[in-house]
Amino acid sequence: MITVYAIVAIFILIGLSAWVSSRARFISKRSIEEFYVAGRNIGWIVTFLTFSATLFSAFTLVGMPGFFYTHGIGSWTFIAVVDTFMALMVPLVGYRIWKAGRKFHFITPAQFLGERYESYMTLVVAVVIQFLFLLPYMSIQAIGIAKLLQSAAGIPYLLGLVIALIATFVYIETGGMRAVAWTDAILGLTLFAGAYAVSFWFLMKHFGSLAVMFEKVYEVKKELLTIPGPKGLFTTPMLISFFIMIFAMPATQFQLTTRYFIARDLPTLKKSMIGMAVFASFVLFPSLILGIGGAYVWPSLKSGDMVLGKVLSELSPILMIIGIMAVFAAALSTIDSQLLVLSSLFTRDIVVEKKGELSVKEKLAINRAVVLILSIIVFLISLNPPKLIVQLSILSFAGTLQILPAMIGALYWKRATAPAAWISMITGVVVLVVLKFFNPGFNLHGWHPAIWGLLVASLLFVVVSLLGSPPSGRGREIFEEISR
Amino acid sequence: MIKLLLFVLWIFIYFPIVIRPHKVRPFIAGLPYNLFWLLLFTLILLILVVIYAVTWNPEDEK
Repeated sequence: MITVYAIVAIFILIGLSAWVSSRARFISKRSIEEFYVAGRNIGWIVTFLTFSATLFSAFTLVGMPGFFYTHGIGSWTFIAVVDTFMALMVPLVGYRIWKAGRKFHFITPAQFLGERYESYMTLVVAVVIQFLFLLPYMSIQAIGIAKLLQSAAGIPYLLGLVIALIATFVYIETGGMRAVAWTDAILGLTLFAGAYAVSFWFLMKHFGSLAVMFEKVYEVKKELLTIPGPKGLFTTPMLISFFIMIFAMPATQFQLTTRYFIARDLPTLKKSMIGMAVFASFVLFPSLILGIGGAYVWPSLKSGDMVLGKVLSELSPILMIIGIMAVFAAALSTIDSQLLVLSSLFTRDIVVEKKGELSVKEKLAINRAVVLILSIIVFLISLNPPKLIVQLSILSFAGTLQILPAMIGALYWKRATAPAAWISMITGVVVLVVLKFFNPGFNLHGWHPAIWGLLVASLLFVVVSLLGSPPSGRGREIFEEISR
Repeated sequence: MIKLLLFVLWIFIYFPIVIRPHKVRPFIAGLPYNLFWLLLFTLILLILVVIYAVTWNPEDEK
């Protein structure tokens, strides 16, 4: 019976979001700027909710309780503190990107990089890196939804996958970015409210209060209440590594960078910055309760990722459905944004760059085909799901991090050159992959391989830039405009 | 200036106070020692970010 309830609840959530997003149907297809960046006319509430919902994925409710369960309270620093701090990316990066988009009508961050460096190669390398690291990330989300629906509600894995991907396709096709942003607003609120409802119930049922929960955990597993945690994961080098990887995400993962384009004006950016910080500060507390409390209630689970499933299995049907909807909302709001940005990167930055001007209708038709093909690829990847969801997800941040020197150079350094940009991006990814998978014995001194990749990429970026001559035409004009 | 202040706070409050002691007790307001500091630090950070957002006006800086 619970399967039927869950399917009905999910369709209600999808229907509600689709109804809200259908308001965008008529205006979004007027121009490609309307479709991909919502005419740069979104208010602050939707801007911060779509940013937050895109940032907080299924990882928030599935992976994070697992982190707290395994590594203890140090997990709070690794994500909640960094995500709150991340709001400062608005003045550091977002404002200049927003300004460039408004003045030069950029649709994608890769287009900005390509025109700023006057280099098609830079654009292509940035697009390839996004595809390389976002596709596995998207698949992780789809796997997260399907697994949860299977374990908690008895919905077959394949059916769960198909529901998630069709819902995403519908949102994007309904009205592009405007529809996705409004949908995300609904999904973000669902995630927030659902996470608190489920964790509060869990706390009351097993402990009665926070103080009792911590007292009990102290008695049986006090290492969970310390840093660097039972397995010593959160050492200072590793915390700083995570800090850099996560803090940089709005500049390096284009589904987030694109959100800076959509803000209506400067006051919208400022208010949305506050919204982002508040959302990030509070959204992870439920995961802390579930993970730390779960370690006392179920001390010998095979994997920390199973905590949420255990909690859901104890809930009354209504609360279970609320919990499932929260995870579904978290994953869906990330997948739809990633799918839209990848389709925009392919349609605008690869097809339109090569083919020249196309009509809006033609571009939208290409976009539809790209979204369909990407959905099929995600579906195929998800059929053979990898075991360590969290690790793959973290590799995604690590891979896109290698774009950071090129992005910061484009925004802040007049002397930055195109060869420096694409050489640094490629080298950073190569160093990361070699150190992660084929380390020939290089001592990382406790730092994540991504940081070594970033270090090499940054050095190369500076040296190669100093050896060449910076863009003197449109690239220089863009730089002067955003620095003004 | 505020960016610098935030950076200094990050280095001087977050790492030495929260991470080094490895303390579990005493419990403060029902929270373990380390978690109390982490949550307090998050709250301070949030307040600073809000103050920064309210006072930030890039068009005046030019």
